[in-house]
Amino acid sequence: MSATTLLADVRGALRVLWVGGLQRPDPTLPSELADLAIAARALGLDGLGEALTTLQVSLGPEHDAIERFAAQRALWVRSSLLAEQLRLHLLGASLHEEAEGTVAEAPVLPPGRDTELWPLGIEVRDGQLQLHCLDPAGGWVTLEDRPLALDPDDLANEPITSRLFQGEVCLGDVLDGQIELVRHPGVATAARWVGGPAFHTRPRLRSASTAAPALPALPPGARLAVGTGIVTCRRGPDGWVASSGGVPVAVSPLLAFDLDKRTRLDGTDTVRIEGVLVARGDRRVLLSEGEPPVFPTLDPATTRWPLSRWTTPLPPDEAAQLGAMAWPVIGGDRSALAAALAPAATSADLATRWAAQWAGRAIGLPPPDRNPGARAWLGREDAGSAEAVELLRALWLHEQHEPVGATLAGLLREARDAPLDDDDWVEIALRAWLTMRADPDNAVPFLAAHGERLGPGRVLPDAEGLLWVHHAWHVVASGKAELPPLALPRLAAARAALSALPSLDGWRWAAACDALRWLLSPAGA
Amino acid sequence: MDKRTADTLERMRAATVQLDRLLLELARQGLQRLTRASLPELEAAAQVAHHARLTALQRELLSLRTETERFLDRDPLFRTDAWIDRVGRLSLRVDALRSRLDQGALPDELVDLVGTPRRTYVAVDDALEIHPLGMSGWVTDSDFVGVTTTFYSPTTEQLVMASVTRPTHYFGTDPARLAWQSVSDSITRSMRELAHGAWRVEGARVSHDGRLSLAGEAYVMPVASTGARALDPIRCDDALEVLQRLGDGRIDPLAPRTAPWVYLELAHYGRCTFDDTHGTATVLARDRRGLPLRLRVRLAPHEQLLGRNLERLADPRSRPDGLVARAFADRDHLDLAPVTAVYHQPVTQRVGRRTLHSHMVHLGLEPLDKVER
Repeated sequence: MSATTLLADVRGALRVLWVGGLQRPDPTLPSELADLAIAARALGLDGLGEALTTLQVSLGPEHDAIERFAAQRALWVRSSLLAEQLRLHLLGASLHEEAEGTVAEAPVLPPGRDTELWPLGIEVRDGQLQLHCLDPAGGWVTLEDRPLALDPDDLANEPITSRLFQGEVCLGDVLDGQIELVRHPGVATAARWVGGPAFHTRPRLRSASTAAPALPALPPGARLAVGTGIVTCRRGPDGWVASSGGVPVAVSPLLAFDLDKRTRLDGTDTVRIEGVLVARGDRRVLLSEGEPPVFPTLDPATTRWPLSRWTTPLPPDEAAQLGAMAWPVIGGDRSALAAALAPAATSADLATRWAAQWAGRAIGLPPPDRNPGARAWLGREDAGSAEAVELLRALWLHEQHEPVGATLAGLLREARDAPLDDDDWVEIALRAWLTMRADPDNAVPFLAAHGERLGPGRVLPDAEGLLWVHHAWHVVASGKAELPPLALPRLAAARAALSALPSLDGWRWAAACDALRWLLSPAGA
Repeated sequence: MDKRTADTLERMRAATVQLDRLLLELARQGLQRLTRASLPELEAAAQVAHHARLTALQRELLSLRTETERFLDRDPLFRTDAWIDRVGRLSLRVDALRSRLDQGALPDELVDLVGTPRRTYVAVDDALEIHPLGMSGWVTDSDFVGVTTTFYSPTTEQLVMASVTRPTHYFGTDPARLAWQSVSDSITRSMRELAHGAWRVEGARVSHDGRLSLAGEAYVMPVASTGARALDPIRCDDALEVLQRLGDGRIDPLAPRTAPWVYLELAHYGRCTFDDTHGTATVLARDRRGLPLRLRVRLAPHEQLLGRNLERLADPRSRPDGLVARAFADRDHLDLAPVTAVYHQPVTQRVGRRTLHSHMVHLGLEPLDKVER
């Protein structure tokens, strides 16, 4: 008897049992179940045999319907599952019988390359990244990527969502390590091997363990090559102009920012850079500089000034506040800084206290006891006629302690009921900030109407305005709501601050922009 | 424990006793002594199950009542084995329920066993990353048209499904058109966009059976696609592994009988044949080892595109490297219901005036004749 026949017979026995009922089962059923139990054991199905025997025994006169019900159910479960598995097994066996061996038309994965790569640098073109590398034989390899989003202000340090790496990566980490390709598809040309995002594989990042192959000098007149070279950068009337061996070198905003920082301190107008270049037809692109390499075209923090540059010429209290700004960046002791800030927090002057509070906020201190002063200022009879900046400053102080209430928002609206001055974009930023905090329902229409005025092409009126604009930008950037961005790139803010450097007292604009870490080097550096 | 929960537990316990008694009585008298008096008894038991929030048992009881009525009417469609199976499953479920109640389970912890009259969606604390596996359209007899996309979520390591549903009176009966419309008032992306990208869903809510709600405060943001890795959880090397997956889902007799999702790279596609009697289109195919299987789709009015696409699977211009499909075991055949064609290299897909590049073509809603390798 085959297992299939046996299971069919078991189902038949169960049918007989259910048709006749458990009260008076068919008298021939026990002997039939006994035969089936023997057959099941003969086939090696001991569990099924046991269930059959149990049901056979339960059909005796000394057992009641409850025991019979349990026994038949156990048999039903076992035989049903067994039949299901057997059906699939037989189906598998029949598939085997019909198999035709390996089929020639089987899909094959696209041919790929297994290799290790040493990154040389990254070129950014129209939102596309080209990661230039060397393979172990010194060959040029380019991996192309088009990330879902790219922060043009800080390409090296902000995580990007990469199609090539199929996840979030930091380009700074990519450039610091080595890359391993496994069956990565690509195209080989005469000059290089080019790969892109793949469906079945992705490049793997590893920490650098072996030295990169030597890179030759860029041949003169090369139109598509990678190599070392010297770049000479000169400040001209229209900005920076760079060339290498008589061929122009592209000066990206980040490279220009870096050159500005380098020359601001020594007052020169010419910079000479030895680095890795990629030749692109009639122009060249700087990839990296020096050994170990730095990446001025990607990393806005490539060049930093020492902290002493800022602390020395400032009055002591402002120097302390600048230190507070820089403290989280350079990893200082927060408790020591909090103690140092205590005298500033007791000053009676509102502007000074405001500045100190900003400093305290930067290091995560709880709001000090200056809110009563702000509240008292707001309570003045002439508060409604005050300048918007003054009023908002007080509101901002107040909000550190409790959210902006409807009363305060109403006060502002009453004070600034006049039409918005389209040219006063500090005011636009302030009102955007307040709207987002106090009247979020109207934030989207407000920003839709005025947000584009906060564009990068605007000249910042002063450092204080920069501070407020940046704060508004930060509120939007950190918010979850799908508000239209204020479109104020950090690089534009940092460059504006840099240009205003000689005429400002330093710490105010440094506090205002997130570019602090791009400007200051760690303590003692 | 509040009074409502205590009352529900009490009703559940009472229902298990009553259902035990009913099933034993059915078994004791046997089919040949069944009378029409059993029908109201089964209906009454279904009412008891309903009041005890035992939705799955209520449905089983109503099905058993229908089967019993067929037997009493001498309906030639009645099958004794099916009736026995239904009683057996019902009895097992009652036993499992009693056991869980004895262990102190609360009603909310019994949803997997007793079902729920209406899905409840639980907010997911973390952002939910989802990668599409397949998109399909459907039209119900109750005049609703819908599109469902199934995703793999590496966050929860589960398959989740998101749907949009609209009444046919306003939106017509073509699911392909619905796929182009916004998913909800808050999410302006269409289901088609969701089915061709990878996403992170903030504020997602998911039901116990893997339904993803994209209403309310949920919003989606694009993330990097993980490519073929998204298919790994359902990847099968050959037809035997598909059979293995089918077997895995049949170990628990109380588990819902859902066809498993599989991804299989087929080596050969045969000619498409149409069976007008059964309303099916079938393609005989073979896997890499030459094992045969059938690709089969129903020829429902809203699935005509699927039938046409099935004819084009063997066309070298659009021939896929792999298929995402639901697997079924027929008596002598292994059947796959194809959902998505997968290509190792991106294919161009002409959509109106645009040309899209994609590794996936959803066969129920996107025509293969617009695809070129």
